[in-house]
Amino acid sequence: MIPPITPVTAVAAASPAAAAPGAAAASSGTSGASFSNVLGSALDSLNATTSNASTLAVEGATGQANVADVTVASTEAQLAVQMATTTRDDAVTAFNSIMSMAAG
Amino acid sequence: MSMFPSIDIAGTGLDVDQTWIDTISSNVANADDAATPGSAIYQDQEVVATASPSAPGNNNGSGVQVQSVNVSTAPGVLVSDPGNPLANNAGLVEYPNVDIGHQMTSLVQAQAGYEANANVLGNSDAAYKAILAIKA
Repeated sequence: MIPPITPVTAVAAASPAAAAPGAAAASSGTSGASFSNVLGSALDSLNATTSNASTLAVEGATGQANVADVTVASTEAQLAVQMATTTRDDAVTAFNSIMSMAAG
Repeated sequence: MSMFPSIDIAGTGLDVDQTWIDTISSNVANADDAATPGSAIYQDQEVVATASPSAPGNNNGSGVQVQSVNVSTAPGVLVSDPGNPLANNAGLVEYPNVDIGHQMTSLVQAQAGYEANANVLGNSDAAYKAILAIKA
């Protein structure tokens, strides 16, 4: 059984002095959830979904959970991981765009 | 509610239909339980389903749940069978009041409901995959 991932908390603007002036201004100027807040809660949700799926997989194999519950949990876990990897790819793409902009 | 509510809701439907099929299975399995009249006898079980309460501000519903499993109080059917070792002095044996015809039609309904919920689950999965595939 895979050990659950420890919850990830948002680290946005934790140390404004270390961050670039532009980034600090942007994070303080935006209202509502920042990207890192959204990412943090999405990863928490992913963690809960995958650990639930892994628990139910064991219960299903030992006959303590029914087939439908195991199917639902594994489907949700698969979608959550897919969503996380999609978001990760987008974030990496954005990061690479910024880095290539600085180099050019 | 998770990130994928439609899958959760389809799952609640599957759970209720599974419980329904389980009770039908129990009713059919016990339909021929003979007993001496007056003694305890198997009683027909009926699932009562109800909508799950929605979270405040959520009008989409949150699925269905088993409210209760009602146990019938109908008396059993008395059959004259003097040769049966369970027969009373009048030669009567009591059988559960389980209507096999009703159980079979319920089973068809439960199976159709289960398949419908499974299809909703599969199509929701395909829909979520489609939106994720845009950026994958």
